[in-house]
Amino acid sequence: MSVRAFSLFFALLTVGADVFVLVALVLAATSRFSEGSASALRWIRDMVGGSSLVLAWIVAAVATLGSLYYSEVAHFLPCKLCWYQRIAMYPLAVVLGIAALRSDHGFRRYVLPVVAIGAGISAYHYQLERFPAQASLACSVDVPCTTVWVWQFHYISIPFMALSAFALIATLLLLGPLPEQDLIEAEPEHTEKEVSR
Amino acid sequence: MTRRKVTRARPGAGERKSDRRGRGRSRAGPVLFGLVGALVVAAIIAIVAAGGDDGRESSAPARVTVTGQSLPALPESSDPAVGLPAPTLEGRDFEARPVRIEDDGRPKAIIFLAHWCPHCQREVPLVQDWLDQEGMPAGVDVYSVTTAIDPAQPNYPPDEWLRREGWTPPVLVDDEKGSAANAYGLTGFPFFVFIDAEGNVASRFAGELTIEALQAYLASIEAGAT
Repeated sequence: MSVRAFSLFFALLTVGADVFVLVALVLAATSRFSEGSASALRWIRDMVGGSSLVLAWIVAAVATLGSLYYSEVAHFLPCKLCWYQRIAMYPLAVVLGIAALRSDHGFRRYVLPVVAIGAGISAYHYQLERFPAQASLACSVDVPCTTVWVWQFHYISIPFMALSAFALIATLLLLGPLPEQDLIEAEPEHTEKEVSR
Repeated sequence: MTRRKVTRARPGAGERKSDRRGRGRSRAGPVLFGLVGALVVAAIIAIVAAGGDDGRESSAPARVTVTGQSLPALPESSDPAVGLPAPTLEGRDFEARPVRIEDDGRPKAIIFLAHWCPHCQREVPLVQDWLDQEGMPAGVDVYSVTTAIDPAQPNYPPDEWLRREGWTPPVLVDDEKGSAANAYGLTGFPFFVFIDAEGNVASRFAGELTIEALQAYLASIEAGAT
């Protein structure tokens, strides 16, 4: 496969991730008002819930392999912001795998802050690519963060792929079963697992 | 104070698999199957739609000859190269026609461009629009040098990019070592060097220039010539 084919492949995955995240967000936002949205969200949770850690691990692993493909095979030089995103993404490909093996859904409280930081850096990097003049009016001789290596479907660059991967990992983790003292509001079917004193 | 306690024990020990999943039912099979299917479909679409060719074959390596002393790198302030003789550059353009940038008694501007640099990608149409409207300035020659050429980087090859932009100034293609860029002490892209009629450096600038600023630089070297 050529670099162009790989970029198209990753861009298609990005579109899929974006659609999934957007649908989940819309359903979550409207589930309080619409029974249809609430039942659709429940259906997605039923489908994804138990496998959420495995799915999130697959997303992190594909993102990590994609990043390594771009730097080691396609020889795209990672800039400083790329490295910060790598620092957030690469460990996820390991720790989410361990969490999935142990079905440790509570582990997401450690992972979600890292995912949020990574997504924040990706979002900043993406807008810097879109508006390069804010960084400086010159490209440095080494690797400027404003260089757009990949541009697919009029909106997808490499930082946007990373942003989509972080967003999908966060969505999958939040769709997972509720562990103790969880981050999101408990649903009725989980309340029997909780006792108050 | 409310404390949540979860009855879900560690996986194993008499616990049903469905309980371990926490959602009552395990749907891992269809979901994972769907994900793998999506990956395969995306890969097939990508291979079919993109084809096998990257269009990245590089042509014969460019050669640049530098005559004269190289200029120091452009510092943040007070350029030490001002007043120094500009080195002569000899090379070829994309059609392998010889290009020579030398002291020919005319003031000149040299614009160093990198095809992958978004600032160069913004500057080129700006300058070309101005040249299209005003024509090449009568008393000043404008040259360009494409440097930092890298097939692995975006917007390659530079000849296609400049042809797409309708770029009219002569183009000298720098070699792999960046001999032309190094000779002029390049520190960033785009990089402008303004040379007076005596062949000495009048000023250098790294970064995007507005047309007004470019005109002012050109006017200053043109005025010095008269």
